[in-house]
Amino acid sequence: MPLFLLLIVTFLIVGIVSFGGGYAMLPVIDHMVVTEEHWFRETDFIDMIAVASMAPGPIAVNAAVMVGYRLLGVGGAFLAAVSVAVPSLFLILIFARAFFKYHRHPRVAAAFYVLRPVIAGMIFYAAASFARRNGLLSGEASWTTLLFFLVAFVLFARTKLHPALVLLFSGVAGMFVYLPHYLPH
Amino acid sequence: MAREEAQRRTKAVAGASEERVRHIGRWRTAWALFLAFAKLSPVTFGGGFAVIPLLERELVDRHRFARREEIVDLFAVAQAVPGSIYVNVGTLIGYRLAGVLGAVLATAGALLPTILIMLVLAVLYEGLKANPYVEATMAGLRPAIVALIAYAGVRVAKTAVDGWLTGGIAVVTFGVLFFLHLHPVLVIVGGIVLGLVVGQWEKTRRVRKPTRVR
Repeated sequence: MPLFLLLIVTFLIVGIVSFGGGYAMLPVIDHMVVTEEHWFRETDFIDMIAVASMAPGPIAVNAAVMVGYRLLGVGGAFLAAVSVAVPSLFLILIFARAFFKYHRHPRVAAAFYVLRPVIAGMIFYAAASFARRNGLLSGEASWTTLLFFLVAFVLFARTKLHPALVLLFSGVAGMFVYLPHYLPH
Repeated sequence: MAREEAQRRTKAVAGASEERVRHIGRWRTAWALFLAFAKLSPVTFGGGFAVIPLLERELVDRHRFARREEIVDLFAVAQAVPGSIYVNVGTLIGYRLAGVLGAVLATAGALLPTILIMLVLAVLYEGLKANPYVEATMAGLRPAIVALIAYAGVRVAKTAVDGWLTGGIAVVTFGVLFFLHLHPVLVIVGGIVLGLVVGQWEKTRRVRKPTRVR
Protein backbone atom coordinates (compact mmCIF):
# COMPACT_ATOMS: atom_id res chain seq x y z
CA MET A 1 0.00 0.00 0.00
CA PRO A 2 1.40 3.46 -0.82
CA LEU A 3 2.37 5.52 2.21
CA PHE A 4 -0.34 8.16 1.84
CA LEU A 5 -3.05 5.48 1.69
CA LEU A 6 -1.64 3.73 4.74
CA LEU A 7 -1.65 7.08 6.56
CA ILE A 8 -5.30 7.67 5.65
CA VAL A 9 -6.41 4.17 6.69
CA THR A 10 -4.48 4.36 9.97
CA PHE A 11 -6.07 7.64 11.05
CA LEU A 12 -9.53 6.68 9.81
CA ILE A 13 -9.34 3.74 12.22
CA VAL A 14 -8.18 6.05 15.02
CA GLY A 15 -11.11 8.37 14.23
CA ILE A 16 -13.66 5.56 14.38
CA VAL A 17 -12.60 4.21 17.78
CA SER A 18 -11.74 7.50 19.48
CA PHE A 19 -14.30 7.20 22.25
CA GLY A 20 -13.57 9.20 25.36
CA GLY A 21 -11.26 11.29 23.23
CA GLY A 22 -7.86 12.54 24.16
CA TYR A 23 -5.16 10.45 25.67
CA ALA A 24 -7.01 7.13 25.36
CA MET A 25 -6.16 7.33 21.65
CA LEU A 26 -2.41 7.39 22.23
CA PRO A 27 -2.05 3.59 22.58
CA VAL A 28 -4.01 3.13 19.36
CA ILE A 29 -1.84 5.56 17.38
CA ASP A 30 1.31 4.29 19.07
CA HIS A 31 0.50 0.67 18.24
CA MET A 32 -0.22 1.38 14.60
CA VAL A 33 2.55 3.85 13.73
CA VAL A 34 5.37 2.52 15.96
CA THR A 35 4.74 -1.16 16.74
CA GLU A 36 3.23 -2.16 13.40
CA GLU A 37 4.59 0.27 10.80
CA HIS A 38 7.92 1.19 12.47
CA TRP A 39 7.56 4.73 11.14
CA PHE A 40 9.30 6.18 14.21
CA ARG A 41 11.44 5.07 17.12
CA GLU A 42 9.64 4.62 20.46
CA THR A 43 11.25 7.67 22.06
CA ASP A 44 10.68 9.81 18.94
CA PHE A 45 6.98 9.15 19.33
CA ILE A 46 7.01 10.47 22.92
CA ASP A 47 8.63 13.67 21.72
CA MET A 48 6.03 14.06 18.97
CA ILE A 49 3.23 13.58 21.50
CA ALA A 50 4.93 16.05 23.83
CA VAL A 51 4.85 18.68 21.09
CA ALA A 52 1.26 17.72 20.21
CA SER A 53 0.22 18.18 23.86
CA MET A 54 1.58 21.73 23.95
CA ALA A 55 -0.81 22.93 21.25
CA PRO A 56 -4.55 23.52 21.70
CA GLY A 57 -7.02 21.22 20.00
CA PRO A 58 -7.93 17.53 20.20
CA ILE A 59 -4.85 15.43 20.97
CA ALA A 60 -5.72 12.81 18.33
CA VAL A 61 -5.89 15.47 15.60
CA ASN A 62 -2.67 17.08 16.82
CA ALA A 63 -0.90 13.72 16.85
CA ALA A 64 -2.19 13.11 13.31
CA VAL A 65 -0.69 16.43 12.19
CA MET A 66 2.68 15.53 13.77
CA VAL A 67 2.74 12.04 12.23
CA GLY A 68 1.48 13.20 8.83
CA TYR A 69 3.94 16.08 8.65
CA ARG A 70 6.93 13.91 9.58
CA LEU A 71 6.00 11.32 6.92
CA LEU A 72 4.72 13.41 4.00
CA GLY A 73 5.12 17.10 4.80
CA VAL A 74 2.31 19.66 4.95
CA GLY A 75 0.04 17.61 2.65
CA GLY A 76 0.48 14.58 4.88
CA ALA A 77 -0.40 16.65 7.93
CA PHE A 78 -3.72 17.73 6.44
CA LEU A 79 -4.43 14.25 5.07
CA ALA A 80 -3.95 12.66 8.50
CA ALA A 81 -5.89 15.39 10.33
CA VAL A 82 -8.87 15.13 7.97
CA SER A 83 -8.80 11.31 8.17
CA VAL A 84 -9.00 11.35 11.96
CA ALA A 85 -11.87 13.87 11.98
CA VAL A 86 -14.01 12.54 9.14
CA PRO A 87 -15.47 9.42 10.83
CA SER A 88 -17.26 11.38 13.58
CA LEU A 89 -18.54 13.87 11.00
CA PHE A 90 -20.10 11.07 8.96
CA LEU A 91 -21.43 9.27 12.03
CA ILE A 92 -23.24 12.44 13.06
CA LEU A 93 -24.54 13.18 9.56
CA ILE A 94 -25.99 9.68 9.35
CA PHE A 95 -27.12 9.09 12.93
CA ALA A 96 -27.75 12.59 14.38
CA ARG A 97 -31.42 11.93 15.00
CA ALA A 98 -30.71 8.59 16.68
CA PHE A 99 -27.99 10.14 18.85
CA PHE A 100 -30.40 12.77 20.19
CA LYS A 101 -33.09 10.19 20.74
CA TYR A 102 -31.10 7.43 22.42
CA HIS A 103 -28.21 9.01 24.31
CA ARG A 104 -30.19 8.76 27.53
CA HIS A 105 -31.41 5.25 26.82
CA PRO A 106 -30.55 2.90 29.74
CA ARG A 107 -28.85 0.45 27.38
CA VAL A 108 -26.61 3.16 25.97
CA ALA A 109 -25.89 4.34 29.50
CA ALA A 110 -24.95 0.77 30.47
CA ALA A 111 -22.65 0.46 27.46
CA PHE A 112 -20.82 3.64 28.46
CA TYR A 113 -20.72 2.49 32.08
CA VAL A 114 -18.53 -0.38 30.85
CA LEU A 115 -16.64 1.60 28.22
CA ARG A 116 -15.50 4.38 30.56
CA PRO A 117 -13.27 2.19 32.78
CA VAL A 118 -11.85 0.67 29.57
CA ILE A 119 -10.91 4.21 28.53
CA ALA A 120 -9.35 4.83 31.96
CA GLY A 121 -7.30 1.62 31.66
CA MET A 122 -6.11 2.66 28.21
CA ILE A 123 -4.96 6.06 29.44
CA PHE A 124 -3.04 4.43 32.32
CA TYR A 125 -1.48 2.08 29.78
CA ALA A 126 -0.43 5.09 27.66
CA ALA A 127 1.18 6.66 30.73
CA ALA A 128 2.88 3.39 31.71
CA SER A 129 4.30 2.67 28.26
CA PHE A 130 5.66 6.21 27.99
CA ALA A 131 7.08 5.92 31.52
CA ARG A 132 8.77 2.64 30.56
CA ARG A 133 10.49 4.30 27.60
CA ASN A 134 11.70 7.07 29.90
CA GLY A 135 13.18 4.45 32.21
CA LEU A 136 10.77 5.53 34.93
CA LEU A 137 9.50 1.99 35.51
CA SER A 138 12.78 0.07 35.42
CA GLY A 139 14.68 2.43 37.71
CA GLU A 140 17.04 3.40 34.90
CA ALA A 141 15.85 6.98 35.00
CA SER A 142 18.01 9.54 36.72
CA TRP A 143 16.86 11.20 39.94
CA THR A 144 16.29 14.42 38.04
CA THR A 145 13.92 12.71 35.57
CA LEU A 146 12.00 11.19 38.48
CA LEU A 147 11.86 14.61 40.14
CA PHE A 148 10.57 16.20 36.92
CA PHE A 149 7.81 13.59 36.79
CA LEU A 150 6.79 14.04 40.43
CA VAL A 151 6.82 17.84 40.39
CA ALA A 152 4.81 17.93 37.16
CA PHE A 153 2.29 15.42 38.53
CA VAL A 154 1.78 17.45 41.72
CA LEU A 155 1.38 20.65 39.68
CA PHE A 156 -1.25 18.99 37.43
CA ALA A 157 -3.11 17.40 40.32
CA ARG A 158 -2.88 19.96 43.10
CA THR A 159 -2.76 23.39 41.46
CA LYS A 160 -5.07 25.22 39.12
CA LEU A 161 -2.20 26.11 36.78
CA HIS A 162 -3.07 25.70 33.11
CA PRO A 163 -1.61 22.37 31.89
CA ALA A 164 0.14 24.12 28.99
CA LEU A 165 1.87 26.38 31.51
CA VAL A 166 3.08 23.39 33.53
CA LEU A 167 4.47 21.83 30.36
CA LEU A 168 6.17 25.12 29.52
CA PHE A 169 7.76 25.26 33.00
CA SER A 170 9.01 21.68 32.61
CA GLY A 171 10.49 22.46 29.20
CA VAL A 172 12.28 25.59 30.41
CA ALA A 173 13.53 23.83 33.55
CA GLY A 174 14.69 20.95 31.35
CA MET A 175 16.60 23.33 29.14
CA PHE A 176 18.65 24.54 32.12
CA VAL A 177 19.06 21.17 33.84
CA TYR A 178 19.80 18.96 30.86
CA LEU A 179 21.66 21.40 28.60
CA PRO A 180 25.15 20.22 29.69
CA HIS A 181 24.26 16.71 28.41
CA TYR A 182 23.54 17.95 24.92
CA LEU A 183 26.08 20.74 24.39
CA PRO A 184 29.08 19.66 22.29
CA HIS A 185 32.23 19.57 24.40
CA MET B 1 -41.81 8.55 29.34
CA ALA B 2 -38.17 8.45 28.35
CA ARG B 3 -39.20 8.54 24.72
CA GLU B 4 -41.51 11.53 25.21
CA GLU B 5 -38.71 13.33 26.99
CA ALA B 6 -36.34 12.57 24.12
CA GLN B 7 -38.87 13.75 21.54
CA ARG B 8 -39.47 16.95 23.45
CA ARG B 9 -35.74 17.62 23.55
CA THR B 10 -35.27 16.81 19.88
CA LYS B 11 -38.09 19.17 18.99
CA ALA B 12 -36.78 21.89 21.27
CA VAL B 13 -33.39 21.81 19.58
CA ALA B 14 -34.98 21.78 16.13
CA GLY B 15 -37.37 24.56 17.12
CA ALA B 16 -34.74 27.07 18.19
CA SER B 17 -32.91 26.51 14.94
CA GLU B 18 -35.82 27.14 12.63
CA GLU B 19 -36.72 30.72 13.51
CA ARG B 20 -33.17 31.84 13.63
CA VAL B 21 -32.10 30.14 10.40
CA ARG B 22 -35.18 31.39 8.55
CA HIS B 23 -34.21 34.82 9.71
CA ILE B 24 -30.61 34.93 8.46
CA GLY B 25 -30.49 32.08 5.90
CA ARG B 26 -28.57 28.81 5.65
CA TRP B 27 -25.31 30.09 4.26
CA ARG B 28 -25.00 32.92 6.74
CA THR B 29 -25.91 30.56 9.58
CA ALA B 30 -23.23 28.10 8.48
CA TRP B 31 -20.68 30.88 8.11
CA ALA B 32 -21.51 32.33 11.53
CA LEU B 33 -21.02 28.85 13.02
CA PHE B 34 -17.68 28.50 11.23
CA LEU B 35 -16.51 31.79 12.74
CA ALA B 36 -17.89 31.05 16.22
CA PHE B 37 -16.21 27.64 16.41
CA ALA B 38 -12.98 28.91 14.84
CA LYS B 39 -12.83 31.73 17.39
CA LEU B 40 -12.97 29.41 20.39
CA SER B 41 -10.96 26.59 18.81
CA PRO B 42 -7.57 27.78 20.17
CA VAL B 43 -9.06 27.77 23.69
CA THR B 44 -9.79 24.03 23.58
CA PHE B 45 -6.96 22.32 25.38
CA GLY B 46 -6.93 18.63 26.20
CA GLY B 47 -10.49 17.52 26.92
CA GLY B 48 -12.04 20.84 25.99
CA PHE B 49 -14.33 21.14 28.99
CA ALA B 50 -12.99 24.59 29.82
CA VAL B 51 -14.57 25.88 26.64
CA ILE B 52 -18.18 24.98 27.57
CA PRO B 53 -19.09 28.29 29.27
CA LEU B 54 -17.49 30.30 26.45
CA LEU B 55 -19.28 28.25 23.81
CA GLU B 56 -22.55 28.67 25.69
CA ARG B 57 -22.13 32.43 25.64
CA GLU B 58 -21.33 32.42 21.93
CA LEU B 59 -24.16 30.11 20.84
CA VAL B 60 -26.88 31.08 23.30
CA ASP B 61 -26.37 34.77 24.13
CA ARG B 62 -24.66 36.11 21.06
CA HIS B 63 -26.18 34.21 18.13
CA ARG B 64 -29.31 32.66 19.72
CA PHE B 65 -28.53 29.44 17.86
CA ALA B 66 -29.55 27.35 20.86
CA ARG B 67 -31.35 27.70 24.17
CA ARG B 68 -29.37 27.37 27.37
CA GLU B 69 -30.99 24.08 28.39
CA GLU B 70 -30.14 22.59 24.99
CA ILE B 71 -26.42 23.10 25.50
CA VAL B 72 -26.30 20.39 28.19
CA ASP B 73 -27.95 17.97 25.78
CA LEU B 74 -25.61 18.91 22.95
CA PHE B 75 -22.59 18.15 25.11
CA ALA B 76 -24.12 14.91 26.36
CA VAL B 77 -24.69 13.71 22.80
CA ALA B 78 -21.27 14.97 21.67
CA GLN B 79 -19.68 12.77 24.32
CA ALA B 80 -21.45 9.68 23.02
CA VAL B 81 -20.00 10.11 19.53
CA PRO B 82 -16.35 9.18 18.89
CA GLY B 83 -13.97 12.09 18.56
CA SER B 84 -13.38 15.42 20.26
CA ILE B 85 -16.33 16.74 22.25
CA TYR B 86 -15.82 20.31 21.07
CA VAL B 87 -15.67 19.33 17.39
CA ASN B 88 -18.69 17.05 17.80
CA VAL B 89 -20.73 19.86 19.35
CA GLY B 90 -19.90 21.91 16.26
CA THR B 91 -20.91 19.13 13.87
CA LEU B 92 -24.15 18.45 15.77
CA ILE B 93 -25.34 22.03 16.03
CA GLY B 94 -24.20 22.79 12.48
CA TYR B 95 -26.21 19.86 11.16
CA ARG B 96 -29.25 20.82 13.21
CA LEU B 97 -29.22 24.42 12.02
CA ALA B 98 -28.04 24.24 8.42
CA GLY B 99 -27.83 20.60 7.34
CA VAL B 100 -24.73 19.07 5.81
CA LEU B 101 -23.39 22.51 4.88
CA GLY B 102 -23.64 23.69 8.48
CA ALA B 103 -22.11 20.49 9.83
CA VAL B 104 -19.11 20.66 7.50
CA LEU B 105 -18.46 24.37 8.05
CA ALA B 106 -18.83 24.23 11.84
CA THR B 107 -16.54 21.19 11.97
CA ALA B 108 -13.98 22.91 9.76
CA GLY B 109 -14.16 25.99 11.97
CA ALA B 110 -13.62 23.91 15.11
CA LEU B 111 -10.57 22.21 13.63
CA LEU B 112 -8.80 24.54 11.21
CA PRO B 113 -7.17 27.00 13.66
CA THR B 114 -5.74 24.27 15.89
CA ILE B 115 -4.52 22.28 12.87
CA LEU B 116 -2.69 25.39 11.63
CA ILE B 117 -1.20 26.11 15.07
CA MET B 118 -0.13 22.47 15.34
CA LEU B 119 1.38 22.58 11.87
CA VAL B 120 3.49 25.63 12.74
CA LEU B 121 4.72 23.85 15.90
CA ALA B 122 5.44 20.69 13.87
CA VAL B 123 7.48 22.62 11.31
CA LEU B 124 9.41 24.42 14.08
CA TYR B 125 10.02 21.20 16.01
CA GLU B 126 11.19 19.18 13.01
CA GLY B 127 13.53 21.99 12.02
CA LEU B 128 15.00 22.53 15.48
CA LYS B 129 14.98 19.10 17.12
CA ALA B 130 18.72 18.56 16.65
CA ASN B 131 19.49 21.83 18.43
CA PRO B 132 20.98 21.10 21.90
CA TYR B 133 18.68 23.65 23.58
CA VAL B 134 15.62 21.97 22.05
CA GLU B 135 16.96 18.53 22.97
CA ALA B 136 17.39 19.63 26.60
CA THR B 137 13.87 21.12 26.59
CA MET B 138 12.45 17.82 25.31
CA ALA B 139 14.33 15.94 28.04
CA GLY B 140 12.45 18.06 30.59
CA LEU B 141 9.14 17.65 28.78
CA ARG B 142 9.18 13.84 28.50
CA PRO B 143 8.65 13.07 32.21
CA ALA B 144 6.09 15.91 32.38
CA ILE B 145 4.10 14.32 29.55
CA VAL B 146 4.06 11.03 31.45
CA ALA B 147 2.69 12.96 34.46
CA LEU B 148 0.09 14.72 32.29
CA ILE B 149 -1.21 11.44 30.85
CA ALA B 150 -1.13 9.67 34.23
CA TYR B 151 -3.16 12.50 35.77
CA ALA B 152 -5.63 12.38 32.86
CA GLY B 153 -6.03 8.68 33.70
CA VAL B 154 -6.68 9.50 37.36
CA ARG B 155 -9.33 12.05 36.39
CA VAL B 156 -11.14 9.66 34.06
CA ALA B 157 -10.89 6.85 36.63
CA LYS B 158 -12.48 9.06 39.30
CA THR B 159 -15.72 9.24 37.34
CA ALA B 160 -15.48 5.84 35.62
CA VAL B 161 -14.63 3.59 38.57
CA ASP B 162 -17.36 3.31 41.19
CA GLY B 163 -17.07 -0.29 42.40
CA TRP B 164 -15.45 -3.67 41.94
CA LEU B 165 -16.91 -4.24 38.45
CA THR B 166 -15.71 -0.99 36.87
CA GLY B 167 -12.44 -1.14 38.85
CA GLY B 168 -11.88 -4.68 37.60
CA ILE B 169 -12.57 -3.65 34.01
CA ALA B 170 -9.99 -0.84 34.24
CA VAL B 171 -7.36 -3.16 35.74
CA VAL B 172 -8.03 -5.94 33.20
CA THR B 173 -7.86 -3.40 30.34
CA PHE B 174 -4.49 -2.19 31.59
CA GLY B 175 -3.29 -5.77 32.03
CA VAL B 176 -4.17 -7.09 28.59
CA LEU B 177 -2.53 -4.05 26.98
CA PHE B 178 0.61 -3.88 29.11
CA PHE B 179 1.37 -7.57 29.62
CA LEU B 180 -0.34 -9.32 26.69
CA HIS B 181 0.23 -6.50 24.14
CA LEU B 182 -3.25 -6.88 22.70
CA HIS B 183 -4.15 -4.48 19.88
CA PRO B 184 -5.75 -1.37 21.48
CA VAL B 185 -8.43 -1.24 18.76
CA LEU B 186 -9.42 -4.78 19.72
CA VAL B 187 -9.61 -3.72 23.37
CA ILE B 188 -11.94 -0.79 22.62
CA VAL B 189 -14.16 -2.93 20.39
CA GLY B 190 -14.20 -5.53 23.18
CA GLY B 191 -15.25 -2.83 25.63
CA ILE B 192 -18.11 -1.70 23.38
CA VAL B 193 -19.33 -5.29 22.87
CA LEU B 194 -19.14 -6.01 26.60
CA GLY B 195 -21.01 -2.76 27.25
CA LEU B 196 -23.80 -3.72 24.89
CA VAL B 197 -24.04 -7.18 26.50
CA VAL B 198 -24.26 -5.63 29.97
CA GLY B 199 -26.85 -3.20 28.60
CA GLN B 200 -28.92 -6.09 27.28
CA TRP B 201 -28.60 -7.90 30.60
CA GLU B 202 -29.62 -4.75 32.48
CA LYS B 203 -32.67 -4.48 30.27
CA THR B 204 -33.84 -8.06 30.83
CA ARG B 205 -33.28 -7.63 34.56
CA ARG B 206 -35.41 -4.50 34.52
CA VAL B 207 -38.18 -6.27 32.58
CA ARG B 208 -38.28 -9.01 35.18
CA LYS B 209 -38.27 -6.56 38.06
CA PRO B 210 -39.92 -3.30 36.97
CA THR B 211 -39.22 -1.32 40.14
CA ARG B 212 -39.01 2.20 38.77
CA VAL B 213 -39.82 4.15 35.67
CA ARG B 214 -37.17 6.45 34.26
